Amino acid sequence: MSELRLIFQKVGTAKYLSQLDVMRTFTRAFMRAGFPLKFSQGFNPHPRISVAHPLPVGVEGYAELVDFDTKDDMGPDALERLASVLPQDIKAVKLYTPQSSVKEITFADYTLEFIYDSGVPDGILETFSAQNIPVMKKSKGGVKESNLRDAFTEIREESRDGRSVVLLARLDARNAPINPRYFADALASAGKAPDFARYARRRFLRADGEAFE
Amino acid sequence: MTETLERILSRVEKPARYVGGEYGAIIKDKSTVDTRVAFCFPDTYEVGMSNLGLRILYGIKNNMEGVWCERVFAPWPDMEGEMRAAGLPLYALESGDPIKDFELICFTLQYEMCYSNVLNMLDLAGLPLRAAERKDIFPLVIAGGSCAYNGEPLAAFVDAFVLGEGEDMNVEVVRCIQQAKREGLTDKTELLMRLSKIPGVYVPSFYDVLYNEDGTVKSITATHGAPEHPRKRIVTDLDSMYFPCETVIPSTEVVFDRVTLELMRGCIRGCRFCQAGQIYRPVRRKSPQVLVEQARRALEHSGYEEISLSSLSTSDYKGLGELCDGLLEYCEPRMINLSLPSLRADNFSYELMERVQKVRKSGLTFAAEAGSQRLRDAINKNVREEELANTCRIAFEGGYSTLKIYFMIGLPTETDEDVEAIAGLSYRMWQLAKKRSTSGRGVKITASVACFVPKAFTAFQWEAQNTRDEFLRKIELLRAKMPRAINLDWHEPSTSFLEAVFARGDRRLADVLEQAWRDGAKFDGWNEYYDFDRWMEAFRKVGIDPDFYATREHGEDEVLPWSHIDVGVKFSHMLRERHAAYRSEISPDCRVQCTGCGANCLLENGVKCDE
Repeated sequence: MSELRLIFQKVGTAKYLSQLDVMRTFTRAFMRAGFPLKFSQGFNPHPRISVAHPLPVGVEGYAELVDFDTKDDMGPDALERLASVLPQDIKAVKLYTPQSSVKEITFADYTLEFIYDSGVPDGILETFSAQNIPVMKKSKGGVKESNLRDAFTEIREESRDGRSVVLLARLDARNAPINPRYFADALASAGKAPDFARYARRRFLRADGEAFE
Repeated sequence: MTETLERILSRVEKPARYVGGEYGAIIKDKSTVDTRVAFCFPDTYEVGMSNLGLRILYGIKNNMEGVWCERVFAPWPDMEGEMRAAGLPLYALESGDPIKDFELICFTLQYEMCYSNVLNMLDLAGLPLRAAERKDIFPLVIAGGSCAYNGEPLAAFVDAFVLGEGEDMNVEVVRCIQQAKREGLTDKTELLMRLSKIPGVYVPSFYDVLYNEDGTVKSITATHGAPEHPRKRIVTDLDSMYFPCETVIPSTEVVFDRVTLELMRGCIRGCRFCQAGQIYRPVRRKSPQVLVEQARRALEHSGYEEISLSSLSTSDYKGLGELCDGLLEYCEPRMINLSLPSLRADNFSYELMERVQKVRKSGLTFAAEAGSQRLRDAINKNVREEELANTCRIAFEGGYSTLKIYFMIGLPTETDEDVEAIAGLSYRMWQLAKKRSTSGRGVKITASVACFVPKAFTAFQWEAQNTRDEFLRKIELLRAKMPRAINLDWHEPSTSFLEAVFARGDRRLADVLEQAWRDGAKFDGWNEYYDFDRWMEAFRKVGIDPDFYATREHGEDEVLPWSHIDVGVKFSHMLRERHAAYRSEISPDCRVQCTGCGANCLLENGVKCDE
């Protein structure tokens, strides 16, 4: 038996898959690829598969992680076998025996693209430099005000053209992850509501700021 | 994916169902394609992707050179609203291209309540609803599936119906259209005339229908050289027939998310209310060896964790033991669940149950259909209470804890005693289950009661449906009699009423359909959208009495709107069966004795049913 980790991308059409969809898709893709999955014991045995830090529907991921257990050797070319049986926009990047626990993930870098049909207004980045950025956060207990400033450690502009601006934000990943759409909400509160936004998680980082694998 | 679509998708529920990209979806190089086909399922992605027929025809058409067949489902109203607001026409999932630019649009009609969605999808595609208003040769609109046998209510909207099994016929139809496209043909009538020569194709505009003063059909006359009696197509040899071992595997959740293995077509039983049991005749089966091999390939390709055996009556499949052995040998070590719906109570065996529950155990369902033996005999549901009791005993001793029993009310010859007998039978099963249960979790018995809908091509095609008030009275009667220990589910009679109207409808109903659609009808199979009053208002507006179709007894000498369609089983057989029902007389199943229904004439010379 061994524990394995897959780094994958979830982009394009696949960004609309929910956490449950991703689990279902990998369970079947692993079966198609002939991976000897280890099943849990009990009334309804299921394979041991876990996806780290589920992404909200509509957000792309470029270095997502899924851990799973196998009972036998995977055989050669396991990554290629898997890559050939995945849906169109899920890409297998790397398959390996992990040396670290996902609990060590501390930060996550996101790109936030805001599109303005009539041109990008000034002061986008400045909106996020305030000490208090109130957003109304939805949770099981209802809606309550929360300070978005506590959710990220850095934010900078990565690129822009006439109608869109792309920010790079480093989010705290230790607590319950915040949905990146709250950044658009904050812009809306500042009177700069974008007409459309795209979000992508680029990578996970350790506490020391190094890339997590 | 365009930004327009992306923007829309950020605002709708379950966007994954609108983008395609699943494993197994067919993407073709457009430069190699001259015939684009849209396979439209007039319900949600989740329902449509659960349909085996879609996967079969998708595979067959995409195996054709120069043809690209793509999937289209009905967008949920939130998505529809966004598409209309953005001016985004109905598109195919694989390419994202608008289907109005395709050569062929095919609809599958699985149930009457999807008709408003057919109209809505045509409109959303940007096409005129009525066939006569679509002057261009392409896209041609074709409809098949079990409702196409009496597709008359849709006759004004559809260019052609395909009757029966589509495996061979669809190839011929698509070839014919491809040929016309390559020739540069522009005359739609000419294309329809060519299509009408293909056995199984029915072009409704080539038939003149005249009516009597009382509203019944006077005559149906073929024109344009079309066959007088379009006859349904079947596939003779199921073993050599295409089966979609490699198919689209949805990433998001669908209703039936598993391999569906079709064991046989047709049914040896002759339940008099059942349309499927008649229209899928003659009985043909696949061999266990072929099935085991196809199952293995389908499971390997899909990675599914469940396989379900499908047929009208799985326990009548000859070789079920051998089949289950072969399947379990593959499934068990891989933790793949085997499920067997459509078991009959009479030959349910302990051995079979033991086998299917080896991997995982699920609830049991059985169709008793009627509460009394007298009425079960009248409808030719040849199952006796002793057999039900035996099944129940075996199942609960074997560890099952839930049982659902299906019944119908409003069946021909039914009395109040028959209705009350449903409560009695359910209660006796509950007592037995409680005594025999070994699960330690208590027992749960559900009686699920549907309202009888008389269907075309059955022994009961002439029967009057009960009125809504009569159904409601019977439901109240049953509720009063049903012990509290039993869960009682019942269907809303107003849905069954509309189903009955369209199941025996004629082409004059086109106006009602169009009116109801204009007034907002869509997703009528979904409780949250079905609006009975809207439909009644539509009937009033166009001056058509729905009771004429549903609650009126049809005369045995009447020309029925579907009289010209040949499904194999003869009207004379249906009539004999109807009269037997009134004498509460049962007919033997096909294996005991052939009753001469006529369906064997569809087989090639020398081939017998059920061989």
